[in-house]
Amino acid sequence: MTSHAMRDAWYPVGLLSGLSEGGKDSLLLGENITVFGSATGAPSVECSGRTLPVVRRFGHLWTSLGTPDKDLFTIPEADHPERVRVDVGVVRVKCSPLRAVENFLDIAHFPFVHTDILGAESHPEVSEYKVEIRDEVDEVWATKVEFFQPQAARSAGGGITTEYMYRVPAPTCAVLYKTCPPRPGAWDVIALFVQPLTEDLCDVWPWMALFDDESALTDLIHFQQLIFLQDRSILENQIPKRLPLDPAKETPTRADLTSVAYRRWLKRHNFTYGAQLVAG
Amino acid sequence: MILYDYILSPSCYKVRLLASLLGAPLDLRPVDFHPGREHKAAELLALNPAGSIPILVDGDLVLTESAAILAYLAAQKGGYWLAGDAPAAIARHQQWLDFSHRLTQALGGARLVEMLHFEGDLAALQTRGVAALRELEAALFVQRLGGQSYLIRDTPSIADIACFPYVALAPDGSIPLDPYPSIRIWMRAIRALPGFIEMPGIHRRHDLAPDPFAEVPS
Amino acid sequence: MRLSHGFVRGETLSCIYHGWRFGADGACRKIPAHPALVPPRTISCGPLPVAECNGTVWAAAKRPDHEPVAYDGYMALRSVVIAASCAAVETACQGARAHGASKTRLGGHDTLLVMNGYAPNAVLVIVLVAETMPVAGRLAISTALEALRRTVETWGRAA
Repeated sequence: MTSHAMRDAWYPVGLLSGLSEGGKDSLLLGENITVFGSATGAPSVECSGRTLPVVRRFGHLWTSLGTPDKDLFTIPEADHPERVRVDVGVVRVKCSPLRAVENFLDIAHFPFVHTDILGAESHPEVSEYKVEIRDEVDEVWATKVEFFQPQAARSAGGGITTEYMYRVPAPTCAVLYKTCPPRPGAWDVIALFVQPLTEDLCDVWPWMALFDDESALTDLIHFQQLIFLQDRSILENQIPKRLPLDPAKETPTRADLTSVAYRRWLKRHNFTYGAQLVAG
Repeated sequence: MILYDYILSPSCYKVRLLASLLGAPLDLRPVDFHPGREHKAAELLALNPAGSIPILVDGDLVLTESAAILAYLAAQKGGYWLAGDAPAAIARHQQWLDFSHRLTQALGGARLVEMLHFEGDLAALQTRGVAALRELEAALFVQRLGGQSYLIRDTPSIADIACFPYVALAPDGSIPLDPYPSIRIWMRAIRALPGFIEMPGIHRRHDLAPDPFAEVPS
Repeated sequence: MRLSHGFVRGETLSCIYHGWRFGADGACRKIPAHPALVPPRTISCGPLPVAECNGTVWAAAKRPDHEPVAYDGYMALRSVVIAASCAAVETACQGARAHGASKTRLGGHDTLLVMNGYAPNAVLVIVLVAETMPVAGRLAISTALEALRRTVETWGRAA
């Protein structure tokens, strides 16, 4: 049995709309679990005969192998009644769960991986932004992130400079707030919930809460799947497989400040499942 | 023409790709394949009882298999992408269209298991996928010996389009393409065709776009 | 990120992930996210020494004190990967060793096989043939190479 700080965190293990009463076998931090749906609305998760704690939130079922010392984070903005909440579905990726989150926090790859959608090769510059570890909530935040995007969202009509905020509230979860094309002043919410299966395999559950009166739900799902599947082929070819937490191992630039803070925060909390501590 | 489409489906991508190469406009009707399984719901089953996509609707005509849809689009645009009249070319063209179904089953099957939680015997699918890739590699090597870049001649046909997507996405099912140099040369040629479009997992050729930093000394 | 997924423009190789450009010496020339920055000399993709000979690319972990052996009059025809060990491939082709290559009759012609056992159960085999070999001979050699692969891999499954 693994013994590390990440056992006490919450992880997504299924879409509430897609649970099976007969149970579905899965993995969490290398341990076998079974996720059960329920006709009476009380889903459960079992691990080696143990019943694990569960939380239902953001359209997903969440569990923990250990004893979480705090409630699963909330996203208050997502509760707005006019938002469309979108279950994007699961995608399995052969990569470290921490690398999946780190890639989500990165904007410098947009021109090359999401060409002519989230970025353009003619506008690759990442301008200065602000990054902090907010001690009072124990979260990593990046704000004032600005980037030129040819098609920032399904609802965007053309190229705009988009403003982003990133938030890491849990070791394998990240929330992105970005300019909402049809509603100036409001933020779209796009989250990446990662279920760590093993140190180099994860199930990724993207989720969104958007203001979008125009697009059909399926269009919104497809847009996010398109973006995430463009990332998948990158994530599966990163070397080393595990996220290096040794600062000497990779060469960060000013564009990577969010990633640097995320790695520092992981190291501070001993969130090292899927990480590589010593340069190898 | 309406295409019932899924952005992550290599079979739907075949149709979108050929339409783009031909300059034929399509009205896309997105189908919530995953996680919604809309292709198995009543509206789509009424169009295609097999419960598969793509489906092409052109007036009263409803077409369901991707190879048939490719043939329809190509025939409408002068037939340049079809086999021509020579008996051997007709037959070899048909042979590669049939072969493309093996790619769908083996490479596509491995991809659905590895990526989207489908049930399946991954090792068996991968073994069959490798066997199919070796066959394709050998055939493309022979074509190159004869000075031909594509499956049946020196210009592309719908046989190439039918085979290309599942081959290019083989790594999604944990089947590497490094051992197949002739396949990689062939894929680079397809990705360089005027009107080529990408899908997730198949990158465009950035090297063919103008260099935004052209002044950089090399 | 594997640079083999990247792209070549002019004399630089770009990474597909963030577009960092590397010159032939491995040094980083451009970081697109910071267009005005001259990349520090310390950023390098760690290039390996390489050499080209007989239509084959050779690489080494450290610069060797000699060039690759040149096989006069021979040129690479094609490469295949065989799911076996180098030793098994050599046994199957019954070739005499000659300057790092295995001299083997394939399809009725003299060929040289050079091998790289890059994983315990995977060997890259490059077949070199006479430069003057006509197309029919090349086809016969290619077909025989595939037969050789079937033989070796069948042994592996039987073992």
